[in-house]
Amino acid sequence: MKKTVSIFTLALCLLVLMSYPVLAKTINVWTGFPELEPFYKWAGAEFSKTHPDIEVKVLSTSLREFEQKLVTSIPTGTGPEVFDVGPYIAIKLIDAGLLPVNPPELDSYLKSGAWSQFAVDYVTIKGKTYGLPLMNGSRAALFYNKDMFKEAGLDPNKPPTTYKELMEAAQKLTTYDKSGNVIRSGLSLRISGGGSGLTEKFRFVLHNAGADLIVPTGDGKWKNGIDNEAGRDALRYYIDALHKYKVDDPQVKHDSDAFVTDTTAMFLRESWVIGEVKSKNPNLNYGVAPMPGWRRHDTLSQPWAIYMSSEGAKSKEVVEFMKFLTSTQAAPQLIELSGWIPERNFDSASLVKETPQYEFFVNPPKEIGFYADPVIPAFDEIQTKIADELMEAFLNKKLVDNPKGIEKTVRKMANMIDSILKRYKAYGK
Amino acid sequence: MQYLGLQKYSSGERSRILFCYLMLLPILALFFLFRVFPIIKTFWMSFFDWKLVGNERPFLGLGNYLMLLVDDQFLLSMKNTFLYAGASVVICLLLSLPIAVVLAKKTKFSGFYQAIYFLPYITPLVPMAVAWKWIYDPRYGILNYILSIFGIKPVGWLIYPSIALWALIIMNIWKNLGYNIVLLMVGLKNISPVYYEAASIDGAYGWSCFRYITLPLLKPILLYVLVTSTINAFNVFTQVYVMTLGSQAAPGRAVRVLLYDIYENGFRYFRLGYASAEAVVLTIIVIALTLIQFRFIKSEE
Repeated sequence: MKKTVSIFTLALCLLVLMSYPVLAKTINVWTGFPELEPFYKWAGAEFSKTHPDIEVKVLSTSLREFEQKLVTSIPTGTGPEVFDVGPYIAIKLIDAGLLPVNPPELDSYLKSGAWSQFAVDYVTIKGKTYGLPLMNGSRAALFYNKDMFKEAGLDPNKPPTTYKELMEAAQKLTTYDKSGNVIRSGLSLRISGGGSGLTEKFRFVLHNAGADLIVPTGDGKWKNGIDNEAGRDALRYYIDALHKYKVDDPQVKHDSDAFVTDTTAMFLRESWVIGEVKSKNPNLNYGVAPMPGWRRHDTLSQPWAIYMSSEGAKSKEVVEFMKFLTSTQAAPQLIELSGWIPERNFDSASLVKETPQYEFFVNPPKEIGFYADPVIPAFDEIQTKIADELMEAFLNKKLVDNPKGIEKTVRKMANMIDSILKRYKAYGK
Repeated sequence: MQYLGLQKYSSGERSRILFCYLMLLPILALFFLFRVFPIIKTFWMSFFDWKLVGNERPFLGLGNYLMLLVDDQFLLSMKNTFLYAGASVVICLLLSLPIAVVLAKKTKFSGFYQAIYFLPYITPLVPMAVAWKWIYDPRYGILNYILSIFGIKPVGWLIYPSIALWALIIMNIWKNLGYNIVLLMVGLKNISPVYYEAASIDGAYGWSCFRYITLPLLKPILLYVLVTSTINAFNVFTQVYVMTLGSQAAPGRAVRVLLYDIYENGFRYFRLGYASAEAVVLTIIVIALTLIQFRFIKSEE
């Protein structure tokens, strides 16, 4: 009896195995942005309609975990065929010869006019192109609450256009309790939390004040670009906002949390905030305006690209899938499913009609310039370490009306930047 | 056979003993692979400019260690870690001892209190840290609400560098208090009542009994608690990682501890060689503390 059951089970297993369809070819896609997962899944399903033998599998984890997983799997050939990653990781992989140069088909697609020259240049390293710009990871704008503007006697159709106006408006928009503590910030600044994000937000002010964290020295090397008047002005702007004019306070809510809960009137951030408002406070009456200007009038605009592994680049289907992900068909889905703005050009009329707040992000005014992170391996470490210094400086009340203190603080940061660049052998005089 | 010292056994016993060794081999192999080998490899890597990405790994000798001596962030991490470990271990021990003494007496709700105190110890670290982040929230946190009842102004627990590390120390004490209490209670219950009876005949009560009977007999357990807590405190990471995430998070510099610095250098900047040197330094500190433990226990014996 036992023997009969065993034979029957074995036969059943064989039958099941034989009837199982031939396994489809798999394209693995990894991302460090969980919000991109629905988009990749949609793209995989659509792509499979025209390529029935292809199965797209998507893996998303938190950004840092994803980066660690990627940099250990790519060198061993166990990584995904397609992945999106920030420039600071991509350049390390490119430097180590672990990312393939775009095949001619992708190279010509990239240069076909579908992307701005700025985006094309961004994925061009030493004359060769790597990957395709998928989305704009950092294009930032001024978000402001129109109802609060009206309440403060400000014109909701005339948002601040300069940092000076921004501070003046913030002063009118801030509300205080009887003891003088901030209840609602006029301008929510990013002043705490570890990581490079804090420095990135500081650069919104720093860049338009006229300085950059690092500047090229002309020989392929870099040096700090903040030990100057513009660098000191940018730090002073934060110190004044926090301690002199008190338009923000470390103890109140910050960022999008504050904006969607009506506890700040203005803040500077990327397009994803629109999705956040839609889901958390759809009745919020707000506007989106270009970043305020100072000595410069630019906005951070960081292309975020998708790349292929060396194994993936050998597959015709993977190359086609890369093109599909960045196609005009996929662009509206990227916004719809993830909230991120496609980097490529696309017809955005219906999107803007439905959600006017997207206007600046998809059709920025011509007078606004763009800047992006320098594509060098040291930059992430510089941003992260400077964040710690900035955080400490922002809370230092002694820096109010203290030019020498500001100078000393900025110089300390400048020296730190130069020493990191030296360690990476990227320092030039 | 003579190497294993088995010549004194009969052949049957020898086979049984060899069988035991044989059965232990897979576990020993795994132990070597996952415990010993990574330690040796870490030590080896600390002498190189070993990057996570790339094939060039130039030999630096003691270069990484020399860099540590002038690295502000490493020195700050050391300072913070020593402060965190020292303060949380000492305060936790000072709090847990009297509580253990009270609970060791068979009071009415002793078991209930033991369970309450022990609960934080078995709570997973990540949700616990997230919950504490809310507790510490300057505007909506329950801690500031309680303080406000006594007229104390809101405190920016995770905002100001001078307070942030202490906020982590408080959280660590809350988590480990129950564990210390349980260990100390085991020690207290193992002290024979005969000593106390003899002491009472000699007229010793209360503090005298505690000072001259309880404390000396509890010393091995106290030392064990002290040293294991210190080692655990030196390995603090998860709380710091969670507390420094996001826009309302603790200032990175103020709560930078050794493991966080190692993590950041190794897995954020991919400087595995440098992070390995830091790990070796941490290992040396932990080994030194373990040796101190052994020395004290030996002197007790």
